[in-house]
Amino acid sequence: MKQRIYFTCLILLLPILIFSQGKILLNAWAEAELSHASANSHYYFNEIHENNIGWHVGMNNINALVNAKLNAKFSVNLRAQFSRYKGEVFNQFRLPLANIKYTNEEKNFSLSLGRSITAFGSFSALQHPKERTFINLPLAYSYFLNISSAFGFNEMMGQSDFLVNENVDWGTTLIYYGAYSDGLLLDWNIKPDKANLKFAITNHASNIFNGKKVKLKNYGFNSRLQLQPTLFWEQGISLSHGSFFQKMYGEIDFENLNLKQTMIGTDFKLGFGFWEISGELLGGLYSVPIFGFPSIEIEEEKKLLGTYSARLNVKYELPVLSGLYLAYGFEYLSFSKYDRFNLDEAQKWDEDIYRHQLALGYKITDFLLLRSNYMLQPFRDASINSRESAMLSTWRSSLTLLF
Amino acid sequence: MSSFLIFGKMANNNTVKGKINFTAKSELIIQKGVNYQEGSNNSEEKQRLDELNQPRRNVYISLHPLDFIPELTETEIAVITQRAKTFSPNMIAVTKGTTVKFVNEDEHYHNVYSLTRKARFNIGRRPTGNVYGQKINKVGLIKLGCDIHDDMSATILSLDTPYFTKINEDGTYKIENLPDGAYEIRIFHPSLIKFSEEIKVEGGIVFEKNLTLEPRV
Repeated sequence: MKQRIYFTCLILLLPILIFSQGKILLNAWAEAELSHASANSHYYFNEIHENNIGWHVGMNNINALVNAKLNAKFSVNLRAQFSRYKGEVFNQFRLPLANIKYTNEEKNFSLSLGRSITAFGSFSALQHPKERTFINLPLAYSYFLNISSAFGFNEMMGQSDFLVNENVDWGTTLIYYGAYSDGLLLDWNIKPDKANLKFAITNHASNIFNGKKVKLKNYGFNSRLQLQPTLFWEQGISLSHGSFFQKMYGEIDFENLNLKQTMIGTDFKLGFGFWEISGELLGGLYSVPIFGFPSIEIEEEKKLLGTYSARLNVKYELPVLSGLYLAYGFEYLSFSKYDRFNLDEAQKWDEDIYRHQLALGYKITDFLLLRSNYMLQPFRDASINSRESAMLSTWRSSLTLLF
Repeated sequence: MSSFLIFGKMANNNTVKGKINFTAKSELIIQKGVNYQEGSNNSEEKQRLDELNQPRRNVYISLHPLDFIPELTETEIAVITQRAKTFSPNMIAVTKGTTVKFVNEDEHYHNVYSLTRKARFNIGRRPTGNVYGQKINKVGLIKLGCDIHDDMSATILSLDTPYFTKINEDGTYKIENLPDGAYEIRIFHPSLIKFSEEIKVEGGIVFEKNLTLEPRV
């Protein structure tokens, strides 16, 4: 049904594209991947489906991008994508980008209505593989937390099939995995090359994931102010707040729970010569009830749960061989303490985690990009690593064909 | 033919001129090599530069001597600026061995790189006002990009002849001071059909060659 809707939208948009008076920009890319991941891999931890552990080769995604100028003021932006559903079967069709954009050059702003790139954070706008240093998404954008978009927090999330008629629920990511959100986006160049503001009113908070029944009564905003204090320094400040309630399980509707997420973040990018250093600090605050287990009960008192993430990437382009770069990335995801029964026995609501990555990328030609990265992902508490018998390790290599 | 090659033949006053026309189809060509980038700027200055960089403006006529080897000197004006996140011009023709200067006129860093075989280079991130010279030692097309702004692209057409020109806004062109001899006339455009033909000029003639370009299929 969903696919039919997408195809119908495409067919309806085709005449607009064909008869547009201005330039039509068509781009596409396809990615194939060879990976080797440790046995404790899971799509929700390291984007490797449990059926693809060990050596695995396959198509990762195919994308088509359209930018059609209807006239001097209006343009249509589309991105169609085929990808692996939860990292496994290559059968998922999505329209992650579909908006009509009004641009006012005199006043340096644009308004996009429809599905646009999430304004929050530094990483969402880097949709093109050429702009991505690593293959994996950052931890804060892809690691699944023990918070459900249906009923709140459960510390056993992902470990037991306790829900009424669904598979195991794996919660949400800190920032929306696909990096797109629906709504109205304002992009205002306050002072070109010096200050830019993006502000979006959307129908959910920044961490909604793969929604099937997104409720229109959900609302939220996400925003980012980007400043360029000096030539080599870009600094971003992001803020988001909203409801992330998404769906109900069977007959159980927890809609009145009013699950809320507030996020604040700052990011920077320093670039000089052949070096680029970038990083991001994010803090997320959830106002959620605790979902009891094994009984399906929701405790009335809401808890405030915090999560914090830090990311630092260093990239070096080798001047002697154009197109080749090396990069190192460090990430840390931490969780606040909570006291479930108010007994002065606070404990973390999930395990803190580190990530180290080494990457090598090579633009073979204008239309071929080769990337390879190795990732280690230990828990902060070393005893957990030994309990799990192996540290999570992932090696991924991708070949991207650009059109 | 090689047995008649004479190095540095004295110039006579031959001229080749003409006009390049476009069909309705060729006006609608898709500009190749332009990448999509989220939030790419569309400022007034960029629109002005895009107008100057229109594909129909990037037609070059070159004459390649067939019975002598021309002396190659560096092309005098070989400058590409980076302004409003655009290469301007986005295509230039130079003689082989010319040092092309890249000038960053934007209030942010730019990079210039080439992945073209035998002409790969990367000049790194350069601040505002920085001028960097890159010698071009390969004959043919050299595609340029900016690592920081993926939607920026440009092309250098490196030639083994000093006899070339870019068409004027009205499509006309003129190449003067050609020595007597046979030439291959080539017309180059990134997206339109390539054209080449042998001509002969001698005795100070004015040779006229008009052509209508079709899109490349």
